[in-house]
Amino acid sequence: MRPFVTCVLGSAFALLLCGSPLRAIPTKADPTDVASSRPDQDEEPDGLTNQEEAEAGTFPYNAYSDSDIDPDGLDGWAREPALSPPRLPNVQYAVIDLEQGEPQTGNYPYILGLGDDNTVLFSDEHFGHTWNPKYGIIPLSFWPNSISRSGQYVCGDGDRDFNDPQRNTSFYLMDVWSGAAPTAFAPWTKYGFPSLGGDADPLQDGEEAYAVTVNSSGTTLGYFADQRTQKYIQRPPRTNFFSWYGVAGTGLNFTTGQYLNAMSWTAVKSIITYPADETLPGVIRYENPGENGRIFIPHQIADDGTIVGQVGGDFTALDTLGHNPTHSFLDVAKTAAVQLVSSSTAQELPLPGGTGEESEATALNSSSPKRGIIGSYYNDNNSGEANLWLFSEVESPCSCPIARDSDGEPVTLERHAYDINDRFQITTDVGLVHNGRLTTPKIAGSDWKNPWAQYINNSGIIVGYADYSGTDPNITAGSHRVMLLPVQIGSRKQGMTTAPETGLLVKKGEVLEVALAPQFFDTEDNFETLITWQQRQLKGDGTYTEWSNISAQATGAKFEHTTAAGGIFQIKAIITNGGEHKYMRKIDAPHAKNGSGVYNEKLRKDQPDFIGVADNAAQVAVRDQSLSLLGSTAYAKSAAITVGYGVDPTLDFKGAWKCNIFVFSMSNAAGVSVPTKSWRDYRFGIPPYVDRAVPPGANDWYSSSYSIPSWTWAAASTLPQPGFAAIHQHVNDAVAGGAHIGILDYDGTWISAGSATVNKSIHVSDGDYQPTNYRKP
Amino acid sequence: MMKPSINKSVSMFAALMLTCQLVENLKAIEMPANIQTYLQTAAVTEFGFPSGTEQQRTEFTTWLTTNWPAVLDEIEAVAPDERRQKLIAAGAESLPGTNYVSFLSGFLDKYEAGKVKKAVAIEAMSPGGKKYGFLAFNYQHPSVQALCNRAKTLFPSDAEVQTLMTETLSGEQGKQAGAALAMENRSEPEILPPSQ
Repeated sequence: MRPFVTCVLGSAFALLLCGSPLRAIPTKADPTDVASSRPDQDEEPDGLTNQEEAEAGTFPYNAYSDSDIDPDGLDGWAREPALSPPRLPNVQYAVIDLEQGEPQTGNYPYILGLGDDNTVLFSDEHFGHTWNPKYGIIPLSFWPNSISRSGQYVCGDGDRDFNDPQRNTSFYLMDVWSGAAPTAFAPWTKYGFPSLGGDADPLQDGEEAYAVTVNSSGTTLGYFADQRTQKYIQRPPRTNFFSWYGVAGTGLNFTTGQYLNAMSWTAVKSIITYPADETLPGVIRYENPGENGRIFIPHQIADDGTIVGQVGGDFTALDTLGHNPTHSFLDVAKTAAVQLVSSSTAQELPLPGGTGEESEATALNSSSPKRGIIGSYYNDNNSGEANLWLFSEVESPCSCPIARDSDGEPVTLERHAYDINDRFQITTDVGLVHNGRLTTPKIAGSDWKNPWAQYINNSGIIVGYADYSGTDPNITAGSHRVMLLPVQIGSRKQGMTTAPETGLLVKKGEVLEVALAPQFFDTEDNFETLITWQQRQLKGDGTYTEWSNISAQATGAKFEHTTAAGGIFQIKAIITNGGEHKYMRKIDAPHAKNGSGVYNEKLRKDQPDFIGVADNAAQVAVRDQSLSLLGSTAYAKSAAITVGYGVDPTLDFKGAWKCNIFVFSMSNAAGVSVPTKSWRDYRFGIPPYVDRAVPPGANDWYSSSYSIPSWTWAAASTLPQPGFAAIHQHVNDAVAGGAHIGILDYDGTWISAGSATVNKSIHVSDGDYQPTNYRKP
Repeated sequence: MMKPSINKSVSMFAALMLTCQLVENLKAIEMPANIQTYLQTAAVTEFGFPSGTEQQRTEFTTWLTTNWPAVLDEIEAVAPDERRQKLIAAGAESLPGTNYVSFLSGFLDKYEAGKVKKAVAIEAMSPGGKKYGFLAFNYQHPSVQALCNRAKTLFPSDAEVQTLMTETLSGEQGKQAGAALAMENRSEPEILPPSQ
């Protein structure tokens, strides 16, 4: 619910407008108007600029576009009142080619899943494989079926003896990375199988057990069916058998050509959840959960045991099961997602799609208190819309569109939603749903096109497909299975949750934490062999040192680094086969306009950012003190100022540049004493002359011959640090000209008093302010 | 309602003539390519001088010293925005004192004609580069007094202008400017010759 007072005020305002005969009543503001005229402004404010509101499809004059209690700037689904996960940053993606340069081949290049440990499960025409950032591609000796968030995966029917269709089987839970580095064909632990064929409950002839999926605690979800019939039509030679079928989704998918196989079950007898401890009493059977002759095919089990799947009622139509590559139960009258809450109860959720239409739930996440279930429903034309269903134990189930467009209308997807993570990101066959909007993942660089997201884990890592069209001779053009790695490099000082918006400044010896994207700070990292980190340092002349590795430990999706030297650094991640990615600015730096109103473009969002390391606490104090005055007009050229710190109180410096006065004041305020100098006032040429105390000028700071206790002079060749004073002298006006001085911020910009405000309009690399001399407190 | 087509034609003709006239006037100013480029890209630095390399600045101020009357005449074409107008005013600080006073007077004329922006005109009356302290140190000169009084008249509601001009005319500003120049070890500005 929206806060009551807001609603009342909103209503009153609407009535006021309604009473006016002079203007039309806008039912809602057009986000595109203000987005184009004032893109950087936040009208309400709600944390989103007008441009961001337009992109999000939210209202620039309404902080609660979906009338819930979360402002749009914090609400990840700001057009859906039932759903308010945290808003996610917009990121770019680096592409890691899972095909190792060659485009996908074979008839069944399926991606079967992605774990939170970043293990990818996929298959080709011969075998199943896993790919892991640490170990690369490992071929499997069984056909995998699906993978859990924790990286365990199951094989549906690894023991099947195809020579004997009446022989029934078991299923396997495998844990790929349970020990040392894996070797091909033998990386897993065999957990055994649920002994459904054991003494207590033997499988009967014609029955089959089948593993569907597994959750992070190792609980395997499967089923067994009876009254199976199998028809073999021109059964292929055994030696080639693997060439002619694949494992797709939740069922066997026998295809094609002359080697057609048809298979059907007349009943799914039980849903089985099987814990990994291999004890038979742990097996839970939900007998005939579909009830009344309907069958239930489970699709996914969450970590808390909640199951979703598909219930169907018309067996007679199932005799061609597996023929349709898109979905299995084409003609089922109605299906539904089911939540199983105990061994004895099953709750059917009301889903879109009436009689004659078909719904299927394909995936669910583990979010609490609201859980997301995604699925699709189909009309008679076999096209349909994918929807998101939400439910929790404390609220009634509700149905939401999977995304909304900029007009707030539900987005109609062609057919299918694949996966949902705990951040409520959803992969579909027409794009990625991010913050409730259907988008195409933005890929850094231009070599990869047409990204298609299939599975997404809780770190926001995606696996799917993309087309390579670049010129790298090691990568062949064509469609590749790829991992899309989110890149929005973040940094923070150890102990902080995030870097301050004013930029990251640490003191030498403090520990710096850097991650490829913010979520990687809090996840396990196995990208050590794929990602290395480099830095370069800003030099006093505005150029940079060469890029070099930060340290031997600076690898992976995140790293810690104990800073050993002061300086102003740029950093970048180098991803093997995934490009180079610099640490970039998240926002436009504030107060970066100069006195002519020109913004320094180097300080724009998405330009390279810096990390500042100061040698000592005095530097930090001077910088912090200076930063606190950013935007102030107290040092404007036209302002009168009483300086203090021993300066002649009869001087107000009205009409004078005050950059040196600013630095003098900031330094003294920060506890780094700067003494005044004496000026003999001969103004009227009449004695007695007056000696007046004034701050040292910028020209004094510039000159190595002028001594300022507590500040050490350094030439332009130094490596500057945050908290340094930076001084530029007008070169050809050494006598008649002037000089300018500022305090260096974390990023090498000057915090200095310009004609109108204290601003950050100058960067050390700006040619107009070179050469620059420095002083260190 | 449609406008009569004759009015539309007249308006278009007038616009065309105005454009031709501007082009013709610009032709009257010798504006080499390097100066055109400089005006497109440069700005006033944060301490009051034209930006760019020493060579660029010298070329610009040399050009302006020769052409400043024509530049003033066509200020709206040469410097249509605030950035370029500030650049012209900063560059004019390289003019000899007498010419500089004339430039400022002409600049205020252009402000009155709506060709120079208010913020630029106000800032020009507080020179910050080579002519820093010039008005304050020449406060007794009739031409400076006329300029200051005119500024007070033109910007009656701007408290900062009123205070600065009043203190300039009283000589008090000379003390502040003297202190500022002394801080920077800069020499005092040119003193205007007595008026005839």
